[in-house]
Amino acid sequence: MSFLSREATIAQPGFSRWLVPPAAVAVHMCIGQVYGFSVFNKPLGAELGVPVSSINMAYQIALIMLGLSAAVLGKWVERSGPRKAMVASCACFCGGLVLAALGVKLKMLWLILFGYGFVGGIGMGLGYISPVSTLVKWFPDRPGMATGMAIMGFGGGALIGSPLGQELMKSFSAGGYSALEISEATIDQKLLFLVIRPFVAPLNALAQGTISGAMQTLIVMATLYSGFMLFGAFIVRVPTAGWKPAGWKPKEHEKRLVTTANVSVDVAWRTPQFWLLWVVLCMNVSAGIGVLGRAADMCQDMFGVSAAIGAGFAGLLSLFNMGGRFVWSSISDHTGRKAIYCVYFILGAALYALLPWTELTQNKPLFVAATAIIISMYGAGFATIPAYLRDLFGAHQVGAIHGRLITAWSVAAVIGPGLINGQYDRRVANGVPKAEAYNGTFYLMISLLVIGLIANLLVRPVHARHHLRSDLAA
Amino acid sequence: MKFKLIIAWLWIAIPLAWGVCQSVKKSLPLFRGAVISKEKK
Repeated sequence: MSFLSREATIAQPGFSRWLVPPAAVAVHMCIGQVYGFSVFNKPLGAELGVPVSSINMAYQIALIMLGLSAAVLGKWVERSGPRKAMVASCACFCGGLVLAALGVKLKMLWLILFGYGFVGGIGMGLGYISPVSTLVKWFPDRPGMATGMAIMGFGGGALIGSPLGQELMKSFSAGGYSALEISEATIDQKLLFLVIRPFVAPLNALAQGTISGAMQTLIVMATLYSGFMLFGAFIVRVPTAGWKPAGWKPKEHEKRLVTTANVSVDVAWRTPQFWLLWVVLCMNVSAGIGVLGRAADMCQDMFGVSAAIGAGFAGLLSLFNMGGRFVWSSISDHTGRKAIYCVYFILGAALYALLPWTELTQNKPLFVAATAIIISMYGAGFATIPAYLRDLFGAHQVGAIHGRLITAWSVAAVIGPGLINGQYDRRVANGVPKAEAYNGTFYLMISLLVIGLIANLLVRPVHARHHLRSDLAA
Repeated sequence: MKFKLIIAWLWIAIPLAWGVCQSVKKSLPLFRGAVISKEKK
């Protein structure tokens, strides 16, 4: 029995299940760095002398690989247990960062795309699904809250990855920080500077010939993130078979959509319920991207505010994106999953319908409030889906089923922005004023949400013929 | 176990809190903008 095997992670008596959420968050907040990758676009574009869009391809490849690897390797993750999966995720994700750093040094774009996008993306997929099944088993009484917490970590990863990347690149770049900048820096900036100061000279020597500081930044990030991910792998535990929280008894008459049976991943993905949830997730993600991807521009165009205020608006939305994952998903434990997705879709569509009016009346506070709620529900869509899967298919292979379902995210992340930007660009090209051109985008978002709502309303319990025999599910 | 729990939660809470602070700082101009526009009115 190796340290990494599932058997080695079985919890001993006295283990607190509240150690598992930090393990999950530790992994998710690292791989969530992908949302902050855009900070590398301009510096790397200048360093390699290629368009920014070429660098951004690494982000797109990473999201595609995230979905594909989660779908393909989900069964392996279930079989191997969370620790081995987290260590594999760490090796791929941090290894990918190091390969990308090598690509910067050698000025090879393909190596950056392969390292960060392909190898790193596989690490993200493994890391994303690795704690899901374990959390659901530890928290049968509150699966929405537990998975919401982990997936909130992914949202938090973006909040960390982006400023961390910027600060590190500034420290390592050819100019570096001036003495004045250091004296005027905030406490956290000074602390970060103190921590990395011993590594600046050796890493700069290693990165000779580069100017952006991106190579050194990627290496430091790989080191930091591996520390957090391995910490998660070290503390994670799986419950013994049949474990239940003290004093908790499963309800005798569960809700109609909450099963006590289990469905295997190979059967689950052939059921209509799986594909209905696939559409639910895809529509929810696409609709959120409509605001998130263009938040700063939208605020500036619709209300004539400065770029700084536009960026502030984008920052506020990222906070709601993170918070919504935990709050809405926790609420779903009380309302039921189908009902909460109806709220996401109906309230989301109503708020999108309100946005053109806020522009017409120049009601900025209402615009900010409405978009913040929309984005909180976008994040919540990700966070609530594992619990919805557990309700329909049982906890047995929920991680693997979740892995196959998040291909919907990859599709939405790649196709969604193109669809939305294309629609906006066409309207502007047809002479529609910029401030009003977004209205078409909002109506498109409403139609996507209506499709998602219909798919959600069609969800019915999985037929008993798909259920696993209880001895096979043990 | 209590000590382990505190360490584990702090290990993730500190970087997350830092990230949240950075985003709050970034979003401050939005609220300052609102104050300025009210003053102008």
